[in-house]
Amino acid sequence: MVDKAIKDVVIAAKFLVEEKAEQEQNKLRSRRPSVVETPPTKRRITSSYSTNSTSSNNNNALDQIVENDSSDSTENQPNPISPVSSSATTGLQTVPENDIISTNGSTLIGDVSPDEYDAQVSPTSANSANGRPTGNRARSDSTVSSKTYNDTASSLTHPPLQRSQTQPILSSSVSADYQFSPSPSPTGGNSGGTKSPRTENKVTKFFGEDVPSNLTQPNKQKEDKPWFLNYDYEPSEMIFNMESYVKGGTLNALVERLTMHDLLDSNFIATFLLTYRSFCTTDEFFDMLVKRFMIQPPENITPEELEVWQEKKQTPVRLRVFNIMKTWLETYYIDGQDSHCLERMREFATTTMHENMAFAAVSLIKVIEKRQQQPKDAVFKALVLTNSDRPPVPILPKNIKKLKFLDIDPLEISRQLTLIECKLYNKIQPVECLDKAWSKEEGGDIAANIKAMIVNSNQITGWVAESVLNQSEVKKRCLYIKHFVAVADKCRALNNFNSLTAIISGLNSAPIHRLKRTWEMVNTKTIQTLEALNKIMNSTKNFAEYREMLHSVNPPCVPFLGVYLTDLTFIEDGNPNTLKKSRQLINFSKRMKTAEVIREIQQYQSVPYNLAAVQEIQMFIKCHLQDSRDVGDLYDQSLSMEPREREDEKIARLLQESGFL
Amino acid sequence: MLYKLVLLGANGVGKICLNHFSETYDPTIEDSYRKQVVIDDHPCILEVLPIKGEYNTLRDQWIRDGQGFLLVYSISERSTFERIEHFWDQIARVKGTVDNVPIMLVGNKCDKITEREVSREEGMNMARRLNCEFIESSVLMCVNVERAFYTVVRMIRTNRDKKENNENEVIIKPDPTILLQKKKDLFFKLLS
Repeated sequence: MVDKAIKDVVIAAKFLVEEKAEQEQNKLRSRRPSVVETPPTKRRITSSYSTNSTSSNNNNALDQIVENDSSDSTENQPNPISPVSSSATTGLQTVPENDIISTNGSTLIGDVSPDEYDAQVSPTSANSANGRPTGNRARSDSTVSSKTYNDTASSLTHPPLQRSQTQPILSSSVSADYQFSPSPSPTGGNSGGTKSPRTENKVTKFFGEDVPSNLTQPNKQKEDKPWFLNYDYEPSEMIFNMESYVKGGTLNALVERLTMHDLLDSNFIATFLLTYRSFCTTDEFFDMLVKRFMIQPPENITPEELEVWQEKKQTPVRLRVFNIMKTWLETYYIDGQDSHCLERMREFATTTMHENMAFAAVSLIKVIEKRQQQPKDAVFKALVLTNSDRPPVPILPKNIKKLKFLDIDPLEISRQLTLIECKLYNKIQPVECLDKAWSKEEGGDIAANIKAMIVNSNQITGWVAESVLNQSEVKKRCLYIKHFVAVADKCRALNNFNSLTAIISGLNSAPIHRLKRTWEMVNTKTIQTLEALNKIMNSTKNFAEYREMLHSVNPPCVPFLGVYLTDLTFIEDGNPNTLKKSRQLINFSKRMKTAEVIREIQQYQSVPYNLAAVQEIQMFIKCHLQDSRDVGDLYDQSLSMEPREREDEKIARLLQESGFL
Repeated sequence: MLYKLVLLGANGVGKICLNHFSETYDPTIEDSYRKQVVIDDHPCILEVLPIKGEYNTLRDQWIRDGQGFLLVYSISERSTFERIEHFWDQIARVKGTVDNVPIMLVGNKCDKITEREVSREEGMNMARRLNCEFIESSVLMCVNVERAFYTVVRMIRTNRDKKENNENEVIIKPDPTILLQKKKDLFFKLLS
């Protein structure tokens, strides 16, 4: 049993070292376009757009890897490892670079305060600092006694996992661009002041003549990929587009790409996990993963080839399957809908996976248990304010017990509205955005949160229209309009585009817009403000103005949900679910587009507002956000208030009002 | 010449399909709502906005901006047909009057003959009552989709031409001083 565990661990460590080496080489390739073999996956969303979930993962991973590297070097420097096995050479070639990072890494860690550090790195990763290098040694030095192995095995139950858990989340290009490159990366930036002469030496070494020799070797290896390490799906099962993104594929091929033994496409993985529910069920997906885990060697394989196959294909694939399952549990699991899958997954982990990869199974079971114990409706990731600034002091009217709309400061109304909207917006889950779930009446409450937000927007619109119409005096109506325009303007200042749109919608609705006599009395400044706000939310050129503004503001913000819903509807209805060439091929480009919208929605869910809630005002607002009357009724009221009139009738009225008649 | 068309209809009537039918379609691109076509030798840019049933926000504004309207229902779903008058009311309210507002009633999904719930006659009767044009279309079969759009564009153009003629007449109309005189006359008439 122990032997088995050791074997697992050793293989896993080997795989990880090679994977890292490959990532580094990817980086080299991307820096030197002449040797580009496969274009690195490009992240279409720029770094500032990265979603909250992945970015936090990235940070995690980055820290852990940096930490590992630093410990690597401290181990490595006193005992320089002589090249031993052929498989270790790829790992060793990158030692100079590792050193660079280690220095950077240590300065980085030094900069982080203990609290932050704890928050970013999970408790188990502390072990990894010791565990990984030992594993490294175990791999490279075959004469290590079995006692060492024992120690390694016991201390290693987590450490290699830590690496394997986090690494796959990073795309090869992301890790290459942001982690290991010395100058533009965050780690490199940190090291700017503390660069030691030794490091510079390494840098020159790194950029110098050594590089080509490092590069050519793995390239050759790639070309000579043995037949038994090829992909299992037929070439016709997957189609790529010009930018080498997956355009379409069968479910089989897509799941294989998800768990590729020699390639990590993190953008693809994230897109798949965000959107798979639109083309298969979780059960089907899980079955495919199990099938993938039970990957069988090809026929007529020689015993030596089998060994290589197990090391280079079977183990990596199994680790990937494990990682996907873990990522799914952590981020993409939906309570209720997926509950039954937990039991299935647990069974798989305790039986099949445990037999083949015990350490992975133990870790997976832990996550499953965590999920099973989690109480219903628990907030998985609560937003925590990072800055300790106190929120601005609420502007309260004199009599808080008996609130009147016109007495409450527009800024405070907009603040409380923003808190209400932000809460609703942050609840929206990725699955709600698929298949236009929000517009379907049947199918339960998949999109409950989107629906709630739509209802809320409509209610704000109704509240505005009704409040104005309920005033029988023209002057009063003017005051209300003025006050609402001020609230809308403050919402804009708070980047709350959803409330802003809802309010100006109410002011522009047919029953209010037609009140010419009222609008004539509204002052010019208010009219100008309203016009400016209307211009922002103008639909011309597909909300070009609004989109630009949204992308330029600093969070926190609440985007106007309507634009996302329109985008998602257009993607859903404008693109077929399967490719035209073959109905078997799932149209993955469509899912990429959907995922991009979902990522943007998520991006704005990550930053909370630093505002103090005033329950009295929130209650006041919520009291007024009842389902408003039918638009027809409101219109009739508007008509009775200011009837349509011909020119002569108008003059007669004016005369009457001014006392001539 | 830019034409702003508005599609109104309940969910699931295929409003967007009417608008677009290519394999890859990215709505986040600025021009994706726009379509360039040539109608009767006139180059036109069609900007199409779909208005969803359940979401009120911005609806009235879009209708106000719209120059032509397509009321879309699915012939295989009676409930969507019954919503048509509701959407027609919305246009009437925002525009104040429906005279000279180009509106077209579109019975979509006419390929689903076996599932038909709304007959052609009912559609025609409705169009007569609402005083608008009527067509049955199918995106799947590419039947009458373009024709629906083009008819509305032609209606908008006819209106524009009429308006231009009217504006030409404005020049012949009495200048403001005479208008003021008229108002004064009315004023004294009312006083007496």
